Amino acid sequence: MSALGAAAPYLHHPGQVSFLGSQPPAEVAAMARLLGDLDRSTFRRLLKLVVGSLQGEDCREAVQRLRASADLPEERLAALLGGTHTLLQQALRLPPASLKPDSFRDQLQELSIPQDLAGDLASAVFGSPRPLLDAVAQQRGAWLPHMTDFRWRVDVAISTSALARSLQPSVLVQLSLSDGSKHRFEVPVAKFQELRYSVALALKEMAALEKRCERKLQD
Amino acid sequence: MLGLGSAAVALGSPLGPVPRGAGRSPAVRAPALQQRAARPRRGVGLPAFRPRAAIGWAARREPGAAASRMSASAALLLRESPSMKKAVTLINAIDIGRFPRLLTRILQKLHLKAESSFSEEEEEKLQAAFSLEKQDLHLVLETIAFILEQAVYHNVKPAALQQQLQSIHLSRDKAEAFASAWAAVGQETVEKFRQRILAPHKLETVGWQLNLQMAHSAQAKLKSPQAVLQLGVSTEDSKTVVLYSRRAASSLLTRTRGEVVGAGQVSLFRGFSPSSHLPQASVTSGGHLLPHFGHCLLPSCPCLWHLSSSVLLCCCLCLYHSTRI
Repeated sequence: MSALGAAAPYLHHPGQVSFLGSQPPAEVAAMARLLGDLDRSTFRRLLKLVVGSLQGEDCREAVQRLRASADLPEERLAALLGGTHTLLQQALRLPPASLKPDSFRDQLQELSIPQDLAGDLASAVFGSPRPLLDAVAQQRGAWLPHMTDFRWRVDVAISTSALARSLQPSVLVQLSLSDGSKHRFEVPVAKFQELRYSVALALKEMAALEKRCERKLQD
Repeated sequence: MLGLGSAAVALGSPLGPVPRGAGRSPAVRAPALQQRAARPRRGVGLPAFRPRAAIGWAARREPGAAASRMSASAALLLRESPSMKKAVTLINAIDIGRFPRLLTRILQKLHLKAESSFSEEEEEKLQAAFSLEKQDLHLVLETIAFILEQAVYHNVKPAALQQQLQSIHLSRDKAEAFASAWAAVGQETVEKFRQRILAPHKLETVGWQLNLQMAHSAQAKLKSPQAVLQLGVSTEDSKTVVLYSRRAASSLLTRTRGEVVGAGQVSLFRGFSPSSHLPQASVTSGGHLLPHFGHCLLPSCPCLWHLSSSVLLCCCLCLYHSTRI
């Protein structure tokens, strides 16, 4: 019964699942309860701190300063930080096309978060910090090492120990990858044409895929 | 004076004995000038003879002689060393019926570095077939391989190869077998050698994969296409020698100077940075004879290069090469 009671607010919109999932995480629910009697300026500073941490800054000193100035007991501060962090992280996962500001605010209201605080949260998610937050989130995904630098030169072997007059061109490539490794290898001309063709084919397929995606895979 | 005398002597040798009274030949002119320099002309006001003029003339004569030397060394010349003589006797004794197949087989495997042409059992079969001892068989196979490698190096025509072989007293039918095998498969073998790359890492395979990333832990509902390239790079089985390090190359050169060696690798490259627009030729080891001053390895190229033990880079901006290649 209590489980159903906790889930009851979400049954109002049968077709729509909240951005927090079918059940809000425990820390978000705990935070929502503590927000009622919180000082607004303290909350704004807290929010700024959490946005900074999501952007990748080191926030330990700021947390210390906030604790000293706001005079909050430690577990309350911890609950607030954790809840806000999870809430923002889940909201930022979804692209702006699928999570509109209005539905975001409605869902926050269902969590019984006060209106003005909901407005602050919405401005953090949909406002000016959003592009930077998206860029940071993109880097956090799982990646294979990708190419950072590609240098080349063309050599012509005029004469070798096997042939007095060889005149065979080849391409020497130095590839630097994002994990710091460097690879230097030589590419004979025929292989270079194959490499060029493969890359061009992959790009063409990518363009075709993007065009198809926009039409078919709608949210 | 001494320098002039030696220049005169040097001029004498390629032209043969100097005929008396041939006033136009420079070799004759030089001794006359030598005499003239001893007693300056009186009252005529002509400048005293400058030794530089004769040396300039000598240097101008040099390219002709050097060019003919270069063209001679560019052709195939098989020398009759003792082991070559022995091998020729053995080869002449081989039954002609199986000889062309042997040649073709060796030619097929010539460009592979690591493997020898024949396995152990095949060598034993050959020993039985040609009735040769093990060392004699090795000598024969190595000599045939050497002849073919030299043919590849100079890229000879079949007729020239046959002529050379007959000059080292190989019997006519064997020489003809060589020439016909070379005419059939020679160009392919040269091409295979040309494709061999002397680099530590070589690109072998290119594979690719196109993925559409739908989501990851920090972002949902992405639709970002990503391509993954798989480049298969093979390493040489032998120990790698960095060919463009100055110190290693100069030690190779001082060891081999004055001996007749096969040419090492010469590569003409531009520097990595786009700002350096001057082509540089780096000679890691050169042609047949490696004097300190030499003519360019490419035939009919007029540029000169010089080496010193510390600076290995060519001092010649060979625009001729960069426009031709």
